[in-house]
Amino acid sequence: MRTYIFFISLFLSFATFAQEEEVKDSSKTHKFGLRIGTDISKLVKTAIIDDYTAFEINADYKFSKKYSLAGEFGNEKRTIDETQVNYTTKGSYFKIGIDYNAYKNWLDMENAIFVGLRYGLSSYKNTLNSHTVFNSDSYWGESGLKTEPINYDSSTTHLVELIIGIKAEIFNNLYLGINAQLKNYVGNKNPDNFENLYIPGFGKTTDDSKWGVGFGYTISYFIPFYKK
Amino acid sequence: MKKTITVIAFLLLAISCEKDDICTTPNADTAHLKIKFYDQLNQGTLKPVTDLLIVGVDNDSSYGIESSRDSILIPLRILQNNTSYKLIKDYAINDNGTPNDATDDFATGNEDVIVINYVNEELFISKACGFKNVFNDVNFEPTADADNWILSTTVINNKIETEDNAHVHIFH
Repeated sequence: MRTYIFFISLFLSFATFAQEEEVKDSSKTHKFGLRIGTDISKLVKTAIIDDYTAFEINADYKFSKKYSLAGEFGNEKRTIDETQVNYTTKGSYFKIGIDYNAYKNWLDMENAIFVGLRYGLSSYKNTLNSHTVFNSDSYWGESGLKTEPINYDSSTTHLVELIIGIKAEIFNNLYLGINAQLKNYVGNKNPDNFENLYIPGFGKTTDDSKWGVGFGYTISYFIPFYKK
Repeated sequence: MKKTITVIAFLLLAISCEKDDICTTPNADTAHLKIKFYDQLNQGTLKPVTDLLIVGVDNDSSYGIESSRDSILIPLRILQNNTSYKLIKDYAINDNGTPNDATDDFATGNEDVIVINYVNEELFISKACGFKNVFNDVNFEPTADADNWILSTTVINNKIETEDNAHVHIFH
């Protein structure tokens, strides 16, 4: 029921957007506290995709009526088989930033339509499981396939992320959320004689762009600290 | 229920949005050894070798025959640190006076054996291209015999990474 109220009020808030700026609802009480959860999509992908394991904890702490301190912490391990290289990337990341809640709640709910900015740091290791040396002349009949694993020195990558999303209360203090992320990496250090082809917290890198997108589906629990 | 469907739909979208990379980097393939043939008496002038048959030592098939070429590209072994070739100049088949009988035919020509020693190095190019082999510290030695047509050699570039320029000059 509360979910429906949320969506109805969402519609109304857009419809009456211009007017709402004028009206100050001093009567409404805000709950301040910590919302902590996990990314369900990572759990589902871990279950259904071979060679992928990931877990992410996300949290936001509402410290003012509109702003929250927000962050994510996660682990990822991914093995990818490309035509010429088969590699595994394993590591952790954290992201920290601010969420701005653009949604004006009815009653004492803490639903959110938020826009946020994050700084992230990803630390991980690359292992080349096998690779094929590109040697198209077959005169000597040598297979360029090498199956001896190569471990590279650890890599670190700094990330910048723009996140937009919705968090809706489905039960008492239990929230379901959807978000989309637009990410870019800065300060990426490649290992000697290899490249960071996958970055935990970012995803696959491509040769022609440093941009990436991501989607998250979160379930989280709100722990109220105080009301005001 | 609708929410579940929406979530699943988004999830599938997120999984399927992956881009394939295609190897388009120039010089991503392992380079051949490039040899250019020069005149021994007039060392600045290119001099083609006539009817040159190229056969790898310990290889059952020939790499090819060039009727008149002033440069050749030959592959080196990437799993060994040396490769040898027989370079047979003026290669011809003598039918022994019996054109219809191939069993008594024999090959003629001047065979010189060259030995190339090197150190292999794998160089990462890109995700799509993977690695190529680079031959470092290249050493080129013709084997002396009673009648060498190769009179002298010079290693121009002892690192074989691209095929733009010759790595070895042979004077004859």
